[in-house]
Amino acid sequence: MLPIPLIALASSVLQGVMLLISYISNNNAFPQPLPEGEELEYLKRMEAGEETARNILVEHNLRLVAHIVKKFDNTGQDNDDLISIGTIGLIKAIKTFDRHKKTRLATYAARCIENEILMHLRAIKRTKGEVMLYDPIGSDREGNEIRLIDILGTTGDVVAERVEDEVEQSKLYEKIRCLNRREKRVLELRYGLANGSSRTQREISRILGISRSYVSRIEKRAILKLQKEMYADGYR
Amino acid sequence: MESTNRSCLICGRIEPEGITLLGRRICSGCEKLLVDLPVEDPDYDRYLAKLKSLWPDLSEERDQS
Repeated sequence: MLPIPLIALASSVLQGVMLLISYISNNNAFPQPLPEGEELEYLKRMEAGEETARNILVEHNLRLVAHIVKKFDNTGQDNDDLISIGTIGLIKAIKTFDRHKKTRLATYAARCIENEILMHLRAIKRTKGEVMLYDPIGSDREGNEIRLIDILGTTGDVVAERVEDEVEQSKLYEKIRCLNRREKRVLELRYGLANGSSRTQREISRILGISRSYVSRIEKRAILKLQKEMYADGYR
Repeated sequence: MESTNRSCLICGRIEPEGITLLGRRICSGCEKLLVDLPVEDPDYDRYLAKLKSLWPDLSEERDQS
Protein backbone atom coordinates (compact mmCIF):
# COMPACT_ATOMS: atom_id res chain seq x y z
CA MET A 1 0.00 0.00 0.00
CA LEU A 2 1.39 3.40 -0.96
CA PRO A 3 1.45 6.19 1.66
CA ILE A 4 -1.05 9.04 1.10
CA PRO A 5 1.54 11.80 0.31
CA LEU A 6 3.00 9.58 -2.41
CA ILE A 7 -0.44 9.04 -3.95
CA ALA A 8 -1.03 12.83 -3.91
CA LEU A 9 2.33 13.36 -5.60
CA ALA A 10 1.61 10.73 -8.26
CA SER A 11 -1.79 12.28 -8.90
CA SER A 12 -0.26 15.74 -9.29
CA VAL A 13 2.37 14.39 -11.72
CA LEU A 14 -0.36 12.63 -13.72
CA GLN A 15 -2.38 15.85 -13.85
CA GLY A 16 0.69 17.70 -15.16
CA VAL A 17 1.25 15.07 -17.84
CA MET A 18 -2.40 15.28 -18.89
CA LEU A 19 -2.16 19.07 -19.11
CA LEU A 20 0.97 18.77 -21.22
CA ILE A 21 -0.73 16.28 -23.57
CA SER A 22 -3.77 18.56 -23.95
CA TYR A 23 -1.42 21.53 -24.57
CA ILE A 24 0.51 19.65 -27.27
CA SER A 25 -2.64 18.41 -28.96
CA ASN A 26 -4.19 21.90 -28.87
CA ASN A 27 -3.92 22.84 -32.48
CA ASN A 28 -6.59 25.52 -32.58
CA ALA A 29 -4.74 28.49 -31.08
CA PHE A 30 -3.84 29.98 -34.46
CA PRO A 31 -6.71 29.39 -36.89
CA GLN A 32 -5.97 27.68 -40.20
CA PRO A 33 -5.50 29.95 -43.26
CA LEU A 34 -8.69 30.73 -45.15
CA PRO A 35 -9.42 29.09 -48.52
CA GLU A 36 -8.95 31.58 -51.38
CA GLY A 37 -12.68 32.03 -52.08
CA GLU A 38 -13.50 32.65 -48.43
CA GLU A 39 -10.62 35.10 -48.10
CA LEU A 40 -11.96 37.10 -51.04
CA GLU A 41 -15.42 37.09 -49.50
CA TYR A 42 -14.08 38.43 -46.19
CA LEU A 43 -11.99 41.05 -48.02
CA LYS A 44 -15.14 42.31 -49.74
CA ARG A 45 -17.02 42.33 -46.44
CA MET A 46 -14.18 44.21 -44.78
CA GLU A 47 -14.24 46.79 -47.58
CA ALA A 48 -17.94 47.19 -46.87
CA GLY A 49 -17.02 48.10 -43.30
CA GLU A 50 -17.68 44.80 -41.54
CA GLU A 51 -15.42 44.65 -38.48
CA THR A 52 -15.85 40.89 -37.96
CA ALA A 53 -14.50 40.25 -41.45
CA ARG A 54 -11.33 42.14 -40.60
CA ASN A 55 -10.88 40.22 -37.34
CA ILE A 56 -11.22 36.94 -39.23
CA LEU A 57 -8.69 38.03 -41.86
CA VAL A 58 -6.16 39.00 -39.18
CA GLU A 59 -6.64 35.87 -37.07
CA HIS A 60 -6.48 33.49 -40.01
CA ASN A 61 -3.14 34.98 -41.06
CA LEU A 62 -1.46 34.64 -37.65
CA ARG A 63 0.12 31.38 -38.81
CA LEU A 64 1.88 33.42 -41.48
CA VAL A 65 3.33 35.61 -38.70
CA ALA A 66 4.53 32.52 -36.82
CA HIS A 67 6.06 31.16 -40.02
CA ILE A 68 7.95 34.39 -40.78
CA VAL A 69 9.15 34.74 -37.17
CA LYS A 70 10.94 31.39 -37.58
CA LYS A 71 13.29 33.09 -40.07
CA PHE A 72 14.46 35.37 -37.27
CA ASP A 73 15.23 32.59 -34.80
CA ASN A 74 18.95 33.36 -34.88
CA THR A 75 18.55 37.04 -33.94
CA GLY A 76 18.42 36.29 -30.22
CA GLN A 77 15.12 38.16 -29.89
CA ASP A 78 12.29 36.88 -27.75
CA ASN A 79 9.95 34.84 -29.98
CA ASP A 80 6.79 36.18 -28.35
CA ASP A 81 8.01 39.74 -28.97
CA LEU A 82 8.66 38.91 -32.61
CA ILE A 83 5.15 37.42 -32.91
CA SER A 84 3.73 40.65 -31.45
CA ILE A 85 5.80 42.79 -33.83
CA GLY A 86 4.80 40.60 -36.76
CA THR A 87 1.15 40.92 -35.72
CA ILE A 88 1.46 44.71 -35.84
CA GLY A 89 2.81 44.29 -39.37
CA LEU A 90 -0.12 41.98 -40.18
CA ILE A 91 -2.70 44.48 -38.88
CA LYS A 92 -1.06 47.16 -41.04
CA ALA A 93 -1.13 44.80 -44.02
CA ILE A 94 -4.83 43.95 -43.66
CA LYS A 95 -5.61 47.65 -43.24
CA THR A 96 -3.75 48.76 -46.36
CA PHE A 97 -4.27 45.75 -48.65
CA ASP A 98 -5.78 46.55 -52.02
CA ARG A 99 -7.18 43.42 -53.68
CA HIS A 100 -7.46 45.23 -57.02
CA LYS A 101 -3.65 45.31 -57.29
CA LYS A 102 -3.53 41.60 -58.20
CA THR A 103 -1.15 40.72 -55.36
CA ARG A 104 -2.15 37.88 -53.04
CA LEU A 105 -2.92 38.95 -49.47
CA ALA A 106 -0.42 36.42 -48.08
CA THR A 107 2.37 37.82 -50.30
CA TYR A 108 1.61 41.40 -49.32
CA ALA A 109 1.14 40.58 -45.63
CA ALA A 110 4.39 38.56 -45.53
CA ARG A 111 6.28 41.62 -46.80
CA CYS A 112 4.64 43.90 -44.21
CA ILE A 113 5.29 41.44 -41.36
CA GLU A 114 8.92 41.02 -42.36
CA ASN A 115 9.38 44.80 -42.75
CA GLU A 116 7.99 45.44 -39.27
CA ILE A 117 10.37 42.89 -37.73
CA LEU A 118 13.35 44.25 -39.70
CA MET A 119 12.57 47.82 -38.61
CA HIS A 120 12.52 46.67 -35.01
CA LEU A 121 15.82 44.79 -35.37
CA ARG A 122 17.45 47.85 -36.97
CA ALA A 123 16.22 50.06 -34.13
CA ILE A 124 17.73 47.64 -31.60
CA LYS A 125 21.04 47.63 -33.49
CA ARG A 126 21.17 51.44 -33.49
CA THR A 127 20.71 51.65 -29.73
CA LYS A 128 22.82 48.57 -28.91
CA GLY A 129 25.91 50.53 -27.80
CA GLU A 130 23.93 53.03 -25.76
CA VAL A 131 23.89 52.81 -21.98
CA MET A 132 21.37 54.82 -20.02
CA LEU A 133 22.71 56.93 -17.14
CA TYR A 134 20.63 54.98 -14.65
CA ASP A 135 21.50 51.54 -16.08
CA PRO A 136 23.29 49.26 -13.60
CA ILE A 137 26.84 48.62 -14.79
CA GLY A 138 28.09 46.41 -11.98
CA SER A 139 28.26 46.18 -8.23
CA ASP A 140 30.66 47.26 -5.52
CA ARG A 141 32.44 45.00 -2.99
CA GLU A 142 29.40 44.95 -0.74
CA GLY A 143 27.21 43.86 -3.65
CA ASN A 144 25.49 47.25 -4.00
CA GLU A 145 24.41 48.06 -7.52
CA ILE A 146 26.50 50.72 -9.30
CA ARG A 147 24.82 52.83 -11.97
CA LEU A 148 26.65 54.74 -14.70
CA ILE A 149 25.62 58.04 -13.13
CA ASP A 150 27.32 57.02 -9.89
CA ILE A 151 30.74 56.98 -11.48
CA LEU A 152 30.31 60.02 -13.72
CA GLY A 153 30.50 63.69 -12.91
CA THR A 154 33.02 65.81 -11.05
CA THR A 155 34.05 64.48 -7.71
CA GLY A 156 34.91 66.75 -4.80
CA ASP A 157 38.61 65.84 -5.20
CA VAL A 158 38.71 67.00 -8.81
CA VAL A 159 37.11 70.31 -7.86
CA ALA A 160 39.58 70.80 -4.98
CA GLU A 161 42.58 70.03 -7.23
CA ARG A 162 41.36 72.51 -9.82
CA VAL A 163 40.88 75.25 -7.25
CA GLU A 164 44.34 74.56 -5.84
CA ASP A 165 45.87 74.79 -9.33
CA GLU A 166 44.17 78.10 -9.94
CA VAL A 167 45.38 79.53 -6.62
CA GLU A 168 48.96 78.42 -7.34
CA GLN A 169 48.73 79.89 -10.84
CA SER A 170 47.64 83.31 -9.61
CA LYS A 171 50.36 83.19 -6.95
CA LEU A 172 52.94 82.40 -9.64
CA TYR A 173 51.83 85.35 -11.76
CA GLU A 174 52.17 87.53 -8.71
CA LYS A 175 55.74 86.29 -8.09
CA ILE A 176 56.77 86.96 -11.69
CA ARG A 177 56.89 90.62 -10.62
CA CYS A 178 60.07 89.83 -8.69
CA LEU A 179 61.90 89.00 -11.96
CA ASN A 180 63.80 91.60 -13.97
CA ARG A 181 62.43 92.78 -17.28
CA ARG A 182 64.53 90.38 -19.43
CA GLU A 183 63.81 87.30 -17.24
CA LYS A 184 60.12 88.13 -17.30
CA ARG A 185 60.17 88.52 -21.10
CA VAL A 186 62.00 85.16 -21.58
CA LEU A 187 59.48 83.29 -19.41
CA GLU A 188 56.54 84.99 -21.13
CA LEU A 189 57.82 83.90 -24.54
CA ARG A 190 59.04 80.47 -23.44
CA TYR A 191 55.79 79.43 -21.68
CA GLY A 192 53.33 81.55 -23.64
CA LEU A 193 52.29 83.48 -20.54
CA ALA A 194 51.20 86.49 -22.55
CA ASN A 195 49.27 84.88 -25.41
CA GLY A 196 49.33 81.12 -24.83
CA SER A 197 51.85 80.53 -27.61
CA SER A 198 55.14 79.10 -26.32
CA ARG A 199 58.44 79.59 -28.24
CA THR A 200 61.64 77.58 -28.47
CA GLN A 201 64.84 78.94 -26.95
CA ARG A 202 66.19 79.43 -30.51
CA GLU A 203 63.16 81.55 -31.48
CA ILE A 204 63.50 83.63 -28.33
CA SER A 205 67.22 84.15 -29.03
CA ARG A 206 66.30 85.59 -32.47
CA ILE A 207 63.53 87.81 -31.03
CA LEU A 208 65.76 89.21 -28.27
CA GLY A 209 68.96 89.26 -30.37
CA ILE A 210 70.93 87.15 -27.89
CA SER A 211 72.44 83.65 -28.08
CA ARG A 212 70.33 80.52 -27.39
CA SER A 213 72.61 79.48 -24.53
CA TYR A 214 72.14 82.90 -22.94
CA VAL A 215 68.33 82.48 -23.23
CA SER A 216 68.72 79.07 -21.55
CA ARG A 217 70.71 80.60 -18.66
CA ILE A 218 68.18 83.44 -18.19
CA GLU A 219 65.31 80.92 -18.20
CA LYS A 220 67.02 78.69 -15.63
CA ARG A 221 67.83 81.65 -13.36
CA ALA A 222 64.25 83.00 -13.60
CA ILE A 223 62.75 79.61 -12.68
CA LEU A 224 65.11 79.28 -9.70
CA LYS A 225 64.07 82.74 -8.48
CA LEU A 226 60.37 81.82 -8.80
CA GLN A 227 60.88 78.49 -7.04
CA LYS A 228 62.57 80.26 -4.13
CA GLU A 229 59.74 82.76 -3.88
CA MET A 230 57.11 80.00 -4.00
CA TYR A 231 58.95 77.89 -1.41
CA ALA A 232 59.11 80.93 0.84
CA ASP A 233 55.32 81.07 0.70
CA GLY A 234 55.04 77.39 1.60
CA TYR A 235 54.43 75.93 -1.92
CA ARG A 236 56.21 72.71 -2.82
CA MET B 1 -12.40 30.21 -30.45
CA GLU B 2 -12.45 31.82 -27.02
CA SER B 3 -15.24 34.09 -25.92
CA THR B 4 -14.33 37.74 -26.37
CA ASN B 5 -13.19 39.80 -23.41
CA ARG B 6 -14.69 43.18 -24.24
CA SER B 7 -12.18 45.34 -22.38
CA CYS B 8 -9.21 46.57 -24.40
CA LEU B 9 -6.09 44.46 -23.92
CA ILE B 10 -3.97 47.63 -23.88
CA CYS B 11 -5.93 50.41 -22.14
CA GLY B 12 -8.57 48.31 -20.39
CA ARG B 13 -11.44 50.48 -21.63
CA ILE B 14 -14.57 49.04 -23.18
CA GLU B 15 -14.99 50.64 -26.59
CA PRO B 16 -17.45 49.59 -29.28
CA GLU B 17 -14.93 49.74 -32.10
CA GLY B 18 -11.65 47.95 -32.48
CA ILE B 19 -10.10 44.65 -33.44
CA THR B 20 -10.50 41.21 -31.87
CA LEU B 21 -7.47 38.94 -31.73
CA LEU B 22 -7.84 35.42 -30.34
CA GLY B 23 -10.76 36.51 -28.22
CA ARG B 24 -9.14 39.69 -26.88
CA ARG B 25 -10.14 43.22 -27.89
CA ILE B 26 -7.88 46.06 -28.86
CA CYS B 27 -9.91 49.28 -29.02
CA SER B 28 -9.73 51.42 -32.15
CA GLY B 29 -7.71 54.13 -30.33
CA CYS B 30 -5.04 51.70 -29.16
CA GLU B 31 -5.04 49.94 -32.51
CA LYS B 32 -4.32 53.24 -34.24
CA LEU B 33 -1.50 54.00 -31.81
CA LEU B 34 -0.09 50.51 -32.26
CA VAL B 35 -0.06 50.80 -36.03
CA ASP B 36 1.26 54.38 -36.14
CA LEU B 37 3.88 54.12 -33.40
CA PRO B 38 7.45 54.18 -34.77
CA VAL B 39 9.55 51.22 -33.60
CA GLU B 40 12.01 53.66 -31.95
CA ASP B 41 9.29 55.08 -29.68
CA PRO B 42 9.89 54.20 -26.01
CA ASP B 43 6.19 53.25 -25.73
CA TYR B 44 6.60 50.60 -28.44
CA ASP B 45 8.00 48.11 -25.91
CA ARG B 46 5.13 48.78 -23.54
CA TYR B 47 2.64 47.88 -26.27
CA LEU B 48 4.63 44.76 -27.16
CA ALA B 49 4.48 43.61 -23.55
CA LYS B 50 0.70 43.96 -23.60
CA LEU B 51 0.39 42.06 -26.88
CA LYS B 52 2.63 39.33 -25.50
CA SER B 53 -0.14 38.23 -23.16
CA LEU B 54 -2.01 37.02 -26.26
CA TRP B 55 0.47 34.21 -26.83
CA PRO B 56 1.02 32.45 -23.54
CA ASP B 57 0.63 28.89 -24.76
CA LEU B 58 1.49 29.14 -28.39
CA SER B 59 5.04 27.85 -28.56
CA GLU B 60 3.80 24.45 -29.70
CA GLU B 61 1.58 26.11 -32.25
CA ARG B 62 4.52 28.03 -33.66
CA ASP B 63 6.55 24.85 -33.94
CA GLN B 64 3.80 23.23 -35.97
CA SER B 65 3.18 26.14 -38.32
